[in-house]
Amino acid sequence: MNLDLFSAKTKQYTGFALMLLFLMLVTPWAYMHFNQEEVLWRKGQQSFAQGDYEQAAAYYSRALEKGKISYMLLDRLGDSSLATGRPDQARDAFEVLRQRYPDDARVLLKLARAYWSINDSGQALELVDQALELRSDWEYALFLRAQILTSQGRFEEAINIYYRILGEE
Amino acid sequence: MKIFILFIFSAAVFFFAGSVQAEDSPGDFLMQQERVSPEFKDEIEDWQARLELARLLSYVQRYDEAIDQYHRVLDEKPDLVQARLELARVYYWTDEIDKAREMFASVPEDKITGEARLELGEIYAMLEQYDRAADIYREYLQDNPRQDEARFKLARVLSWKGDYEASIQEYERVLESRPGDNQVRRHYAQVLMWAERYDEAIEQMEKTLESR
Repeated sequence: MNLDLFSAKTKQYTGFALMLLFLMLVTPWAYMHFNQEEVLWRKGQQSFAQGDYEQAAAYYSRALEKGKISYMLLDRLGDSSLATGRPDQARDAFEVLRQRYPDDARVLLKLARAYWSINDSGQALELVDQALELRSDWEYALFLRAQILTSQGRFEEAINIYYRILGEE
Repeated sequence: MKIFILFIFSAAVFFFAGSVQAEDSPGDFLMQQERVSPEFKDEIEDWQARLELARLLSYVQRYDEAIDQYHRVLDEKPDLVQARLELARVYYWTDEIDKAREMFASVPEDKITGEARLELGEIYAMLEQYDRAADIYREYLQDNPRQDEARFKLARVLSWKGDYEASIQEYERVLESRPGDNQVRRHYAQVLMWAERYDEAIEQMEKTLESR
């Protein structure tokens, strides 16, 4: 091809267009290569939003392995793990969160659910009580407390809590 | 040269714009939590607490209170199949057979899905229709193979109908995932006794005592 047939401007714009094309192809690759944890996290979020907790947990775990760590990642990993019947994994995720946010009642309650799911109702109850110290009127915490007490055979205490939630003490 | 600088600049913008970190604090997170979260809420609806209360009252044999609470649940949620089936079961327990049948008949079987099928299985078991109950549990377990409670119920029903070997297999599967569950292990030991496998039954009973 004889390049002299093209004006300098044409060659300049053609070069620019080729570079842009190159950029369009290479940038996504580079982004995914150097930000794998971010990509995995976002894929996890997509799966989570679609209710595919199995897949979400897998993406979140890999994002964690790649070094991403955040409140939301650990929380979502814990939730997905609980939803897919992996309470051990959920407990580990929520334990890390508790260390980072010890006064977060929500984390305490989720951790309680994880412990309860692995049949450690004593630890679960302790965590629920800690959450209730932070938010004494939290209905969900009271509800979970009643459920744990039921599993321990402490039926009368649980019944009283349900009546309390219903305002029929 | 200008084009080259522009190229480098564009690449940097493309690359870093995408890698801006998303939310990373509980505050930001809580704002997003409402969008998607499996079964985790701040508030409990009255009917949910009332249903749990009704169940519990029935367990402790405060049947009149339980029946009252079930009716109040159904006032709020008339289509709640689970509550209808549980109420039917309580009526059976209190020998109010006509009311039980009426309540049971108010729920077409094809409308009973998910967890409510377990309740249906319980009712068939109570009516000593063990084959029907076992079929229901098996169907449920096809979709929920990791549901230990349903498998436990299946194991019990199989033992009641005298199919000890099948029952033992189901108990063993439950104990694989819940080795520390003494309640299940005691039932398992009982079935081993019925199957005249006394040595294994003793071994299992000893395990329940060791872990106390």
